[in-house]
Amino acid sequence: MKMKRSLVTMLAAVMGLSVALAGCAPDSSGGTKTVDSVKIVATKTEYVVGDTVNYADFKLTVTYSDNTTKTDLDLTSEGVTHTEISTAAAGEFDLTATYEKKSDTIKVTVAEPAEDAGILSSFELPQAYTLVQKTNDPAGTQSTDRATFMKAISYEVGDDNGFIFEPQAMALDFDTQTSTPITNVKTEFELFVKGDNGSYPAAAEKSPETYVTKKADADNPHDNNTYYFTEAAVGKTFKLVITPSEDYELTMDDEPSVTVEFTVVDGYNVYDQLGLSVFDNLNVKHWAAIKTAAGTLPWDLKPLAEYNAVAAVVLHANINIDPDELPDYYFWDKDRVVPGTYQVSGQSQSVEIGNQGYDAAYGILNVESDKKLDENDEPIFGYAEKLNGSLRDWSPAAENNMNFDSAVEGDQKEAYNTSSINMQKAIYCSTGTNISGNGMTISYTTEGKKHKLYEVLSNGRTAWEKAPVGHWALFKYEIYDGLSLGDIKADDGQTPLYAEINDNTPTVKNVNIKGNMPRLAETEGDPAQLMGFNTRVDNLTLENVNASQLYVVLMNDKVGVIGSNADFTDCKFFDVYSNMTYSWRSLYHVNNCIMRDAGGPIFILCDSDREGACNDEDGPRLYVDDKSVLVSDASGSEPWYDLNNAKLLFTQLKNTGDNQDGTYGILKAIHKGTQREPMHKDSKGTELFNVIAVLIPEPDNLMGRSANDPKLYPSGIIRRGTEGNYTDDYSPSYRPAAGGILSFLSGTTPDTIYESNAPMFISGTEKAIYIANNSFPFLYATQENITSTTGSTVDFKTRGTDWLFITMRATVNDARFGILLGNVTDYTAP
Amino acid sequence: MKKSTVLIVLVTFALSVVIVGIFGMRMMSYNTRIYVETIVPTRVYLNTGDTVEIKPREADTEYEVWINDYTEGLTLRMDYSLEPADATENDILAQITSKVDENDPVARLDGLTLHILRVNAGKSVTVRVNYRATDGGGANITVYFYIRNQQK
Repeated sequence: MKMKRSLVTMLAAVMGLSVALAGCAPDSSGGTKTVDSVKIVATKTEYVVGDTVNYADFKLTVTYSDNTTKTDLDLTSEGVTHTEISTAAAGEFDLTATYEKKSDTIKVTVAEPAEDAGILSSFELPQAYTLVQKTNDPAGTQSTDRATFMKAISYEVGDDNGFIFEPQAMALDFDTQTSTPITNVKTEFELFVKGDNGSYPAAAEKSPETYVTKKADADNPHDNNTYYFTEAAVGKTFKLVITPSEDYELTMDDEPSVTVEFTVVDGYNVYDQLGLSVFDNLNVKHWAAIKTAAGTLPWDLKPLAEYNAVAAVVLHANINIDPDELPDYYFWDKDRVVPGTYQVSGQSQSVEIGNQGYDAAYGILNVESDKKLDENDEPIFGYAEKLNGSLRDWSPAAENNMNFDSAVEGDQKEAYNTSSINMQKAIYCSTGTNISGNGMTISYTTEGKKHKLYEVLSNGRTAWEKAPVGHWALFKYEIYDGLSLGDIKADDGQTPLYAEINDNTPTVKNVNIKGNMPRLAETEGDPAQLMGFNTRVDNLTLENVNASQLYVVLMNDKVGVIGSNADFTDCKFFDVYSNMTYSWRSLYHVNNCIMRDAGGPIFILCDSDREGACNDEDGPRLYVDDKSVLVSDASGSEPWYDLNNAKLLFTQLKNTGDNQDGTYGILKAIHKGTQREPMHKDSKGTELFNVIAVLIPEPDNLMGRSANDPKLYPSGIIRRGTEGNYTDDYSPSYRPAAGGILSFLSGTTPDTIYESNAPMFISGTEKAIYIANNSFPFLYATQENITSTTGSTVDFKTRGTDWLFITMRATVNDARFGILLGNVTDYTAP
Repeated sequence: MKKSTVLIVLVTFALSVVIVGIFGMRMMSYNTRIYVETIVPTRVYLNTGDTVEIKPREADTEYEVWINDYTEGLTLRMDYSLEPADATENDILAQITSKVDENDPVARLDGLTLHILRVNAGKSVTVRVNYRATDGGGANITVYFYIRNQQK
């Protein structure tokens, strides 16, 4: 049979349509509809490696040609196919589902399993921060607690490098009684910016990255808690609210969040001794090896060696200085060999460098210091054997203590730290880096394995019989008015070697400096340890600083045009070996401070030579407010007085205290009107004097004077009153050339008296001369009259009687020096 | 002033030196300040009459105390000794350094007695207390009191 061609074509078309329409659902009009699209709707798209993917979490929504939809079609439904997701490895994978030739794809993430975040049972502020908030005396009430600061501390954070603030997190297992610290705890934070009105907004900063960022850094063990503040943050105060990551299972009672408040300053955040080295912009060469070896600290933005001109160092931890981690250059080393020779200053011969003078220094000590001062045959001090590894303070290279290496290298690169005009040296030297201590403590270990933070040579050349004089400080500020730092180039001759901050008025605040040399250290045979600070900038401010057990807290060196003045505000100084401060013609302002238990006078006011054309205004000047408490309680038997041959001074003072018949002498009587006394007895019956200051015309020589440099009379200004208004004058304002204030005394010649070794007393505006005569124990001079009394019934009126200034001398051949005595009843707490 | 007066002054001072003597003032240990070097916690007493062990932590100056069964009104008092025993001052100041909600505190210190005010059921608290000598020598210890309320 033969079919027509047209019929065959028609049948084929019908069959084709039948097949095509077989998958179509009836449409709303009763016709068929087709699938236009499918879409995967997922209830979960994130899995962890090892998870079993539950495909029931994925549904298909089918959209038909008539715009109707069918939802929640399981991937396991008939006609639906899908790809498989493997969770064997982490990554992002496509899940594709197909239905009626229509497909959709969705991204599925397989993550690495979270670290065992585990249990978080405790989430607290770091204790160091909490203690800062507590260990102060917010009321400023001069707490007798020596561990507190005088003033409340506002926490500061630097912007130069990372600020690590890691909450203390722990997991606790009560069944096994095991506490496990969680280091680098995962945290989130919110930042609040304090407004000009002094309050914080309710909502957190929307763009915190304007001020601060955190960054993941595998090299930083604190990267979850290191904050990098921008320059835009400087000067602003922030509140940071930190919460633990949701990864942790919390078993603690309270909502886990901590809040820290601080102000961002231009400065470098310090966490350890290494970081503290950025304070130094003057010993660049000495620190180079240490800084280079350290490289870039994990939380820093650049190598440590490049931080040589920071505005401030900001402490976030207590730092105990290990001498072994300090530059070798600072210390004697008998085995150090420096090749070559150098020219001795002012002389023609060359001297071999060798071990930098160690052998010569050892020889001096062996002869001078190891004297057999007791009955034993053995040297009692053994300074020579202590030399190796101790701080270098002597050089055969020059007569004026010039640094040895400077002479060797023929340059002035290191002149800043050991220049001829200033023999003081320091571990950390700067032209003006501020210190913001945040309530932290800087202390030191006296002896390491190879280095020792003490000196066994003194005065640059010789050893003393009893103990050396310390010339090294922890910190030093110095501007050298004869040398511009910018003129000193590195070896390439182009690059400035030093970056000068040149602030000239640095501030040290909110820090506790603690040494190991208390007031009554057994110094006979023990070398001198560190001063706290040495300064030769215009003005150094110590604000809310605690200091104790140092050789001296602060030494001021005035040379040339540099003022070398100091302001002390809200400070507590306790228990130092020598003096709280040692001034060379400096101007001091002391406000709301406690200075107690110095081994010698609280202040040494030195170089006040009137005959050397040193006017009062150019001499040492001490201004103290009436809130300050200054107590030395000196018996004269303290090591400092002993070493300075000052026992005789106390003998004389005591004789002015009591007359030979046992009645009150002038020293006690002069304060009778206020029932205050400049001397009292302790429980052992020892008479104690409150020696506030000693004014010495002769530099560094308390008793006696040099025959070649006779300086007879002190100059200077000593005043007391309210802060900024110091009205009570205790100055030694006696000028022989002008006739003096005593010239009205009938039958007396002031110069005669003054040239004697009789002490002269000045209290307030009153002055008197002690004349030891039983029937006429003293003359008392005022503008109005002369009063003479006998015995204990002295009616001695003075104005401004809190303090008593005495000038006296040991013999008529010695220089007259000044002693400022304060009341002993001002402050009776320990 | 008459020359004789000046002479008297000089003689008197010379005599005073002789009487008292340049060597009349011997070295003595007046007012030697001995600082507290170590605070050693010895025992923790509970208000129930029980005592609790004090466990040293890894850090030299840190200790921990575990209280596994909190009861309302719990108070603890830690005894301590000081080294050296002849320290000039023997005052110790204790301060809570863990988080303290002033409005809803979990603990309060009265001197050296720690009052645990609340621990919610099934939860725990950590009270970190710093004890330090007030003499300025720097001696201090930190004690962590871990306290659990086992009620569910």
